[in-house]
Amino acid sequence: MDFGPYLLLASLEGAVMAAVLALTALGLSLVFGVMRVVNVAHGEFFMLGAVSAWWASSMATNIASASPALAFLAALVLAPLITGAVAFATDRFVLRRLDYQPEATIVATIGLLYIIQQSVLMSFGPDARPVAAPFNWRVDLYWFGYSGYKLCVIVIALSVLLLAWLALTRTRAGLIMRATQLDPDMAQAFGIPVDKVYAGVFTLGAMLAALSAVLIVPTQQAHYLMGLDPLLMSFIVVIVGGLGSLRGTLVAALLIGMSDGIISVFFSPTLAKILATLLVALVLVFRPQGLFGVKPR
Amino acid sequence: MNKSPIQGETAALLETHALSRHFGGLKAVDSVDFTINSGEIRALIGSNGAGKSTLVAMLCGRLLPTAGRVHFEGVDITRFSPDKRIALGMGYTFQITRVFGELTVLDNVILGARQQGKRNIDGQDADSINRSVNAKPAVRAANALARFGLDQHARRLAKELSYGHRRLLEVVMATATHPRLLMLDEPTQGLADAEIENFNAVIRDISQHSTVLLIEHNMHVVMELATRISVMHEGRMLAEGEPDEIRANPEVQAAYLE
Amino acid sequence: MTSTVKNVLVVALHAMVPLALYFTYPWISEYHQNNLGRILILAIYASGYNLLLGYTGLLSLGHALYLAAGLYGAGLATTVLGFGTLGAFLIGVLSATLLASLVGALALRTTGVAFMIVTLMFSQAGYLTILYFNRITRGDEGFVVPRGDSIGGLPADIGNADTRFIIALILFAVCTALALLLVQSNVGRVWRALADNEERVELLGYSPTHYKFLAFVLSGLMAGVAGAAYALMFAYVGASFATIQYSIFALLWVLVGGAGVVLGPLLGTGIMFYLVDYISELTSAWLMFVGIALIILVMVAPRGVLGTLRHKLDWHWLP
Repeated sequence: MDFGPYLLLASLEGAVMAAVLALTALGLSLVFGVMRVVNVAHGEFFMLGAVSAWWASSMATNIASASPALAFLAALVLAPLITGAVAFATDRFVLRRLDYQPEATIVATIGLLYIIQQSVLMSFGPDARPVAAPFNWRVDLYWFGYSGYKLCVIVIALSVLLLAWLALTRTRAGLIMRATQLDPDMAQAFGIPVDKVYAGVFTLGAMLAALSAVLIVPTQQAHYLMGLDPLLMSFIVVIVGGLGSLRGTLVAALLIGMSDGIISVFFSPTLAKILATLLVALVLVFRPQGLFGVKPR
Repeated sequence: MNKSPIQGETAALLETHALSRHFGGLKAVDSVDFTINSGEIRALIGSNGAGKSTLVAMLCGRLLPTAGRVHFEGVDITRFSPDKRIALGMGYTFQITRVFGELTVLDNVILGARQQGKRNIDGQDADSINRSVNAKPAVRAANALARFGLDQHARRLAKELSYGHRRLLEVVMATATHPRLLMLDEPTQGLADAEIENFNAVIRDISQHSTVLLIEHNMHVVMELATRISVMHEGRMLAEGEPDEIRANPEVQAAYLE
Repeated sequence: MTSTVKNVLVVALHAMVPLALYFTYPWISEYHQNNLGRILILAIYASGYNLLLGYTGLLSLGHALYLAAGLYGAGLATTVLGFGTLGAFLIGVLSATLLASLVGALALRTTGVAFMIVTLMFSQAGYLTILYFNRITRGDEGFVVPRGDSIGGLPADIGNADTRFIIALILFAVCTALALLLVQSNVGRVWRALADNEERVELLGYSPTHYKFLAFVLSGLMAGVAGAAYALMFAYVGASFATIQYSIFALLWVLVGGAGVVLGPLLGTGIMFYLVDYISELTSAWLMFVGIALIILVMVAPRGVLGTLRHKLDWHWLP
């Protein structure tokens, strides 16, 4: 293949990565932005989503002999619900009792990371589990055929992001979240149930991670150790984009996802990750508001 | 500028020149010229939002000015970090009491006392200080606690002290560095009347060795302690004078005393 | 009790621990003897972490980087550069100290959550670098470090478990003495004050950055001591020591034993070593237990064993 088509392929892979990454990172960004909680278990919510997707789709196939499309639909509905329930319980029984102190919550979510990861290991074993894509079209791009499903992932992820954007900026729930983010004490004084907002945001953040996992799992496989990568990548995106900034998160996801895809294809995935982690550390040191964030006051 | 050679009663210890701090369009402190001389107990008064806290924050280095300069003993300290200012001989206590709760009372004071060893104490300071310079920080800290009547609490954790004692500890910590200028931000806030009486005695005692800048709301305390009073209003220095002059100043009455 | 008498008693108490271990050693089984050597070395790593978290209040999520720097510094100095045991040890410690100085200078420009993530990211970059240069480091698989037969010219059979124990005990005693000296000095007082209220410390005339940097570098140095000793004594270097998991182990061990207590890290390392040893015989999902321990600690006993003891019994004198 010539260089041009090769670059196109790399860019397409990068775009799929960027779209899913934006969705995952949005969850982390919301939780950090509104609650000031660094959720180290975010990657495990992603993993839980992927494994639940495998479980839901294989149940649908085996018990109801559903078609791949229906089985995938079952996964798309059930996986975020299961993950959301785990997140809700975490907020209620752990984070709230710690009063959301930064150090304590970070240690607690590290603990949660291991508990989720090892529970999946104990119940589903160490094997990688495949999930069938809902359809198998290939789009002919002249030089090579490309998975229609992957293109579809980009579209779905973008639609969800657009929906999230509208919900945050145009609805009352979004307003309440932003008010809580700005000043929880003030919000409480104005009758906003801050506890419920926190529970909702934490659940929603986990569900977004699970949703991205369901979308990507047909192209990868579900495995109990798959959570670390999306966690670190989301950290990178959220920090480069500016902690708590929605627009920054999206731009950074595009930048990081695309460059990760391209560097991985042309050089080495490890080198891409080294560069990204160093970038994030240096951004935090020298531009703590993120590359696209605005300096506070 | 060189270090001022004059150390008499009237030498300027701290001076600000056209000091300003703006927050967006708000001029919190607007071109203030302010001088404190050695040996004074100066009170800084003004209604809420007059700019006292902003001015003091710039004096102790927590906030950098938008324009203007600050000199301490002739040295331009405008852009010095707080720790450098302390090393030069400034001391400060907080409006909201902040002692190290997880440390013992004695350890709190030793932290201050250790700092004094880093610089020379002026020859003209009281003999008691000169003698104590050579003592170990722990001994000096214990002496300071005894002087303020906190010695029986020395081994307790600071967070276990009563509110009044914590305020007092805060002052002991600041004096343990033997500052030539001690700035006290609302030291009597939240104290009972009896505690305030004791406090006034403590401030008078401190003023034997240090120049004191007192930012205070309680007018009884101000009138009883201050040798001079400066009045701020809407970011500017409205008036300055002896207590009686200030009491009689119609502008001040209109703006503040009513 | 005067402060001199108090100081003597505190030093005596801390000196008793290595002495007690020395006299216990001949009476325990070979299995426990071997464990004890490892626990002592890992406790040095945790002690360094304790200076940072327990005293200065800085939560680093990337301390495995300095442990790994010690391991690879000493390991590669032996296999690639052909250094003897002492030289390789010093190179390991030096690598960790230099790396900690570099990362510390950058990371300490941030605070709070940003500090935790910056340290995590630097350590992850370090781990990935080890994987990237797998022709030299042999990546996850790691490599064997041949054991020397002398230390700085003196004959020492490092292949012998008893010799290893003595070396580990001496290193541990030296590091504990250093930690004790530091936290009892004004440096330690400033560290504890920093954990309490940084701005107030600055307004007493101390530069927070200098003291935090000192804590960071010293804790990196101790991690390097542990790493270098581990590589040379247990003859193996691998990338798993550089993973986030090992950074979290340091956090866990310190929290279990008691953050801000000099003897906490040894106790925490020992407790967790044996609990994990026991649990991993029952299930391969032993990390589950690490997760549960972290959540219990943070919710029920954030002071750890010795910290709770000190708090309940009002032992403010226990450093």
